[in-house]
Amino acid sequence: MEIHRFEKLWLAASLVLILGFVATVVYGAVGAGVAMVNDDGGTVDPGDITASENFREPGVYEAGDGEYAVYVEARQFSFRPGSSQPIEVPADTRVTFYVTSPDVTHGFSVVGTNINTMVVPGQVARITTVFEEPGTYHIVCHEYCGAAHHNMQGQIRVVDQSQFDASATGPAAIDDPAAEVSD
Amino acid sequence: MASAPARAQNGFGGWLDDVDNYDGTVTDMTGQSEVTVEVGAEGNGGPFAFAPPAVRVSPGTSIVFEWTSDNHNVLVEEQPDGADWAGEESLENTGYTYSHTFETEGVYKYFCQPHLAVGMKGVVVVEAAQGDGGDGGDGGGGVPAEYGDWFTDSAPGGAVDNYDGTTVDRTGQSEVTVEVGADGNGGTFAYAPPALRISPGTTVVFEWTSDNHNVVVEEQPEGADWAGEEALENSGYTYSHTFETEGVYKYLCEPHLSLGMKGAIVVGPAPGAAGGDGDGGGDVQAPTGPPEGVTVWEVLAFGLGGAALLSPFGVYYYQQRRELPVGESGRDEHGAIREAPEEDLEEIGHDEYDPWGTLSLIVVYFLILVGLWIFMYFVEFLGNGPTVIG
Repeated sequence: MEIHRFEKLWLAASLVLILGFVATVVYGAVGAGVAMVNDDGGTVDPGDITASENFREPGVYEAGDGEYAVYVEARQFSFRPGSSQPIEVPADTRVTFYVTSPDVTHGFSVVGTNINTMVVPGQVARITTVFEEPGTYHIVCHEYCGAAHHNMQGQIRVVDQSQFDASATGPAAIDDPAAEVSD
Repeated sequence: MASAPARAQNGFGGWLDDVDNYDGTVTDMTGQSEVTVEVGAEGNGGPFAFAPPAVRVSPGTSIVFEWTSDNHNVLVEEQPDGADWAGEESLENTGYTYSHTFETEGVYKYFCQPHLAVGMKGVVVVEAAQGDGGDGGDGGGGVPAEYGDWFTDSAPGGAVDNYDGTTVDRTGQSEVTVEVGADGNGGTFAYAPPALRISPGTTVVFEWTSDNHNVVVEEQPEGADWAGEEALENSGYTYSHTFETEGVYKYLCEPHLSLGMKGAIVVGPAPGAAGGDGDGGGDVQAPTGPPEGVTVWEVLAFGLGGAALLSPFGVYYYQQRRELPVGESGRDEHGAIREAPEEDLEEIGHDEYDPWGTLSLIVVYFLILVGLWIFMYFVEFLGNGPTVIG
């Protein structure tokens, strides 16, 4: 079979391109450490998520040395915590979100970042991330969940480690002007 | 008396809607032993009316139907359970009279068969004298607080936690407040009070005490025009409606129906208690029923109608397609494919021709792809932290 030299050229180039795509994804997973959201978060009883030890009182908890766990209940049409009071986490620290829903499928998307997951009733979505700088992030529900879906939003306040107090996740800590550092 | 105009407004479920000589008032003849209704009075574009078209009488009253023009009859469309009014089926002429004594309380609808199309229809309401507070003790009046299965598990949304079986009585007040989003049903997902009794004419103020709630009317008495508040509103919002028509109103919060956020309002005096205020003694409940929806057959009929309307276009294009001229179709007059005319050919070697145009096009495609690749993955994705790392 005779193949024109131009054809050989662009066949080779497209193979290189495909290899480049694969290499990029491998680099993302191995080099940059980008992870996928999977089912490792486990399950809870969607009929009564408070029966699960972790969701008895959703909020921010210290999960170990310099690591924090945030338990969030997404329900029609709010995040708890997140909507009526912002989630406050320290900067430059590993933070793991555990999100679940007691009613319908919701979304948990931190606007302008790569953090987003579907929140399926009974399934705990687990995402670990690091917020490098203090600032305010917004959470939206990006899975249509009902009539007031457009109102379902929340906030994450990332504060400097020195100002973070794990026990102060209430409104008092939010009013702290020092926490109002924008990125 | 308060209930009389309210009920008259509803036109008896549409029965009197096309009756020209019915102006919304029910002629009150209660307390009389004999009442006359003219058959074939002026109205509906000729001598085609019952006069008065709607009349209220006490139980035991004889109504004398008096023919004032020719060729009319009196057919019964609807009457209360247990009533035995047969009407007068034969067509009669001027001067004829026919009478019937109405014993059973309720609403009787009747019409003239030959002149039904022009609106010759009437209504007889039989009820105990109004304002007769003295005999209210008979318990025949009032609106019972009957919610069916509305507050139970078998209704949509399940049981309502903050409903304990009692209906809060606020009759006699001009304004009553209902909290929307009060504590209950596992959060701030309740109406408080969930069940409420008010007098006709009372304004109910719905006051939002938490966010993302609305008030959707599930069921209301026939003739009532409560629209609810469909918009999702937040804490601090208020909305009010004045309830005129007696009966039971059921409403719900759409987003939180599944949690049991439901409520009901009973408009009218409680049965038995009615006589005390001389207001609703011996009231008759207006008939209620579910609103009529669009049936499958109506949808099907519209669909078929639409297809029928569009079919000429389909036929037109089909014919156009078939009628391509012979020369343009690539076939000869017998339908066989024509041979292509022979052309002069010059053969060149395999590598003698270089498709530079194709090459440059492909190079441009590659550059676009590489650009998108780098921009999307390295700039847009990896550069857009924070990223999920575990």
